[in-house]
Order: sequence, then structure tokens, then C-alpha cells
Amino acid sequence: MQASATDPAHPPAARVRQFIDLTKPRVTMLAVFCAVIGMFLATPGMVEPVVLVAGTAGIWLLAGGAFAVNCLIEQRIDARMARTRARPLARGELGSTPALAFAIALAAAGSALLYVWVNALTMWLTIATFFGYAFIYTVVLKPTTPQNIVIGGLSGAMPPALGWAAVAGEVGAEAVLLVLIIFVWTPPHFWALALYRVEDYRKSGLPMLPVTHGRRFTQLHILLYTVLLTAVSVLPFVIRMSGWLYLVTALALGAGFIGHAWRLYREYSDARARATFGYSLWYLAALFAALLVDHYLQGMLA
Amino acid sequence: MHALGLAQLLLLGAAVAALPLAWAWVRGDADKYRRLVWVTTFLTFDLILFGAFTRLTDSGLGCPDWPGCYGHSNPVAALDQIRAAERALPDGPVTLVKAWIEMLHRYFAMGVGALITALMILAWTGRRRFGRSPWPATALFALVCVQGAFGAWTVTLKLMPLVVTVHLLLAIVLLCALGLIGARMREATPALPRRPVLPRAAALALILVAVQIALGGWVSTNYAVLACQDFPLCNGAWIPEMEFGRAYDLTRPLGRNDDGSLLPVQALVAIHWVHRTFAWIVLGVLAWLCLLLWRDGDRAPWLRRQALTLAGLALLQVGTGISNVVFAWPLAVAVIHNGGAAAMALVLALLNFRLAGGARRASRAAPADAAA
Repeated sequence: MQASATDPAHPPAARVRQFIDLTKPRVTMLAVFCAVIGMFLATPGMVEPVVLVAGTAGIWLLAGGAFAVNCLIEQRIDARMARTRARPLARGELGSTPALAFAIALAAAGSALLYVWVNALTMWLTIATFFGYAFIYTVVLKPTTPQNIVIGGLSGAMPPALGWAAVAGEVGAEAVLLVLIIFVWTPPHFWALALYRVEDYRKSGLPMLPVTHGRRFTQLHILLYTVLLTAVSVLPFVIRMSGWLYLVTALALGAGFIGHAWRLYREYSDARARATFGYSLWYLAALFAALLVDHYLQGMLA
Repeated sequence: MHALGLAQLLLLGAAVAALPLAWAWVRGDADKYRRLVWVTTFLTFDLILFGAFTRLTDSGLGCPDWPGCYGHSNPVAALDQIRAAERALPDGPVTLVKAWIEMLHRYFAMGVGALITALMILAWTGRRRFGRSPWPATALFALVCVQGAFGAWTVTLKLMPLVVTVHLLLAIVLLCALGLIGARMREATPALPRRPVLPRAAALALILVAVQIALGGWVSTNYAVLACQDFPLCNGAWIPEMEFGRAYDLTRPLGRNDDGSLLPVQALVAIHWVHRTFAWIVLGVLAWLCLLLWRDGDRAPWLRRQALTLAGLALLQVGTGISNVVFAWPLAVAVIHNGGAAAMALVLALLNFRLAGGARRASRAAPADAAA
């Protein structure tokens, strides 16, 4: 079937929708959210409006471009999985050439914004993250090793450092800690999803941990990573970047995550895996909210 | 000082406790949630009044940094710095009273921010029992974050007129959004007359009032209230000498042109004149809307109440607006003029919502003619 802009089955609005879907808008938004929090944590006062707007838009565009490239490379895999089958490239509604042109345009516009209105360091770091995700993770790691999301998680963990660099012009120890938290958070978060989607991943042929090493092994690793994550999440307090409010929140949130992982380890059910995955999302949002609130309280109570 | 530190900790504790308390109180009860929304709406309206008070008493830079006051949580802790600034410039932006006004505005805003956060969390946890999407409350939370950023920029960009105006406009958008979230919690909407001109007139009135509020905010944030010293003539002429280009240069700092030179008085006259001239147009459309509402009131009495409310608010705005000019800007009247604008926007937003079908659209459960 020929799809063109004038085809009544593909009105322009649906076309726009397809391009937007290509950027995985929800995941992009989460990445941008983490970058914005990185910006706010990088200064005791308020972020300059130009940096906030241009930095957010630039990181947003580049992240969207990276996801579009990811969709482009994975269209054949996506078509085999129930979760991703509806993506426009997987359904063949959108050609590869327009998708590639779109991705390049997004990346170019994002880079230009960051270079002109933010700083060169942020641009280079964001581009490096782009390549880390779109190529090293998607092309090299994902189809090769069950450690794919552990190593590749680094590119997903970068956003706070990007935001930090946009404001501070450098990447401080604090920014590295923020990256480390997301880096350690990614495996238990993702494996909880992979557990209840294991049949999907088996069909896709990707070597995800529950497929290659079994469910039991994955449950154990989720548990171990939540313990590690709780330890890592205390580090901002240890280096005196954050105060008591953050420490208490991080420990409480960590205990909740370990609790979910423990229940999942004791006895597997799809419902428990889902609950763990859902908790992991709230965990990250609440942890970063606590960092931010604590940051401004420190600014006032100093 | 120790007592103060203790009081601070208690306040902090109360703020932290407010979230679980709100949760325990509401617990998926749609009626209680609706009441919490209206309490928040009421407090937001008060906060807008207090914000106007802060602006009109020149207290916006009462603490020149953000989020703290000279890095402290309150003006008492920052007393030495404030006294020093006051000694250096007795009529300057920093005095103890101004610092207190500014910090009270920030504390109050933090409270409203916490309440809106609670509203978002409650909307998510109670979404099944309410039968309402939690996304409007989530958007509201995002909006209040942006509003907080503009509050900060108001300070760090030294009262740049564009930032202060947007801070005011976002506050009014926030107020209207809260009102709408409250309204969509109701199951039933009063019966509606089916005359298509009424919803259109209401929509037009809302748009014009929004523009007029933006123009009015621009007058206040540029301190152009006294640029015309008489009424209805402006400095003795219907059309005085004006400079529009510089008047609506949005990116300039307060009281200056982009190149740093002083803003000419003709630009201030233009800012003032546009607001008072546009008022006639808004007034005309509001009169028309009131007339339409009154005429349809025989079938739906609530429309008559709306007409009276709108007419009353319009008269209030005209009266306080003229008073601002002829009595040289009395503080209380100027604050009321700002409050009347916010109330007008809220009433019109709710009217538009109800005329468009209101809660019937928002509710999945309620049958279409439950209220008839």
C-alpha cells in the first residue's frame, strides 16, 4: 500500500502523530525531566531562563533523535513483539528514509540549540549519549549480551549530567553521583519488566537475562541490585551534597524497593513483577523530587 | 534565635505532614477531594492578592536572592545584612518590612505548591473511584512548577516586566485551572439553554478579558499607572503623544530601553492608554454577554446569577481602575483591581466550562441528562 501525504487513510495529523511516536515521547520526557533536575541541582539559586529553555529543548530534540534511530534499527525486532508491534515503522506505515531524515534533523537542531545558547561541553556530551544509545547500545550490546542494559544503561543514566553541564559548564562529582544512581537503578527496573514480558523477548531473539539465564537468576539479580542501589543512593548525603531530609527519604524509598524485590525473589508472579516495575518508576521520581526539595531547603536554611 | 529555629522545624514538620494528612482525609472520597480543590482555589486567590500587594509595595526585591533571604530562611536570621542594606539605601529595594512581605509571599506560595502536589497525588491514587482522569491535576502540578520558576526569575532578573507579567498571568491561569478541576468533580451540571450565540459570546469575553489582564499586568509591572493623570482624558487629550515601539518591547529591563537608556514617558503613556482604551471594548462585550445571560435566565435561573456576578465584577473593575488614576494609586484599591481581574477570569472560565457541557463531558459515569 502506498502511503502519501494526500492519502485519505493517512491525513497529515496522523502523519505528525507517527513522527512523534517515533521519538518515544514518554521515555524522552522522563530523560528530559532528569536533565532538568540536574540543571536545578547544579546551582544554589535559579537557572538562567535561556539555559533552561534552550538546554531543555536541545536535550529533548537530541533524545528524540536517538530514539528515532533506535526505532529505525529495531523495526524488524519490534514487529515480532506484542509490546512494540504498533510502532509506525514496525507496521510499515512510515518509510525508513523519512524516518532517518527526521532523526538527523532533530539531532542537528538539538545540537545547534545547545551550541549557541548553552555550551559546547553540553552539546558534545549529549551527542556522545546519542551515539551511546542509538548505536553502541542498540546495534552492539542489545543483540549480543545479557549485560546489554547494564552497560547500555549508562547512556540512559546521562541526562542529569547533561543538565548539570548545561548550567555549571562542567561535570562535577555530584553530577557523576546522579548518573550512578540511575545507572544502578536501570537493571532492576528493566529486569522486572523483562520477567513478565519474557515470552515476548524470547520471540524477539534478544538475549535478555530471563531468557538466557532463567527467571530465578534474574529475581536474585534484581534483589542484589536494589541493595546496591540503596547504598549508592546514600552517597549524595555522604558527600554533603544533600541533607537529612534526603537521607531519610532515600532510605525509606530504598527499603520499599528492596521489599518489592524480596517478595519477588521469594515467590514469582507476574503481578509481583509488575508491582516491582511500577514501584521502580515512582522510586526514581520520588528520589529526584527529594533531592530537589532538599537542595532548596539547604539553600534556605544555610 | 533558638525559639525561631524550633518554630521553623515545627513549620517544616507541618508542611511535610500536610501531604499524608490530606491523603488520610480525602482517601478516594470524591466530595472531600472537591472540597480540597476549592480550598486550594480560595488560597490561590488570596495568594494572587498577596502577590499584588508584594508588587505594589515594591517588595519584590525585598530579599535580593532566591530561594533564601541572604541565604537565610527568614528576615530575622538575615537581620544584619538587611540592616546594612537599609543603612546604605534607606529608600532602596531592601528594608526589613519589604523583606518580610517578600518572604511571606514565598512561604504562602510554598504552601499552595504543597497543596497542589497533594491534589496531583490524590488524583492518581483516587482515579478509579473518582472516575476522572488524573492528567489535569498532573498538568496543574507542572504549571505550579513553572510558576515557581517565574517567581524565582522575578527576583534574579530584577523585576523584568515580562517575567513579572507572566508570573501574574500564570497565577491567574492556575486559579482558573483549579476552578475547572473542581467543577469537573461534580456529577451534574444545571440544564442548559441551547442557543449557540451564548457559548460564543462567553468564549469571546474570556479571550478579551485575558488580553485585557495581560495589558493591565503590563501597566502595573512597568509602573505606568500614573502616566495618564486624569480620566477620561489622558493628560488633557483623547489621544496623547505616545511611543508604541518601545512600550511593547518585551525583552527590555524595568524602566529602561534595551540599550540601557531610560524609557521615555511617552512609552509609559502608550502602555497606560492601550489598557484603558481596550477596557471600553471589553466592557461592551461583557455588557452584551450579561444581556444574553439575562435573557436566557427565564429557562435557567443560574444564568441570571452569572449575569449579576459578571456585571458586578465589571463595575468593580471600572470603579477601581478609575480610582487608581484619579486618587493616585491607593494601595488597597490597586490590590482590589488585581483581585477583581483574577475573579473575572475565574468566573468566565467556569461559565465557559458549564456552557460547553461541563461535568457531563468530564464524567464517564453520569448519564447525559442527570440534571434535567
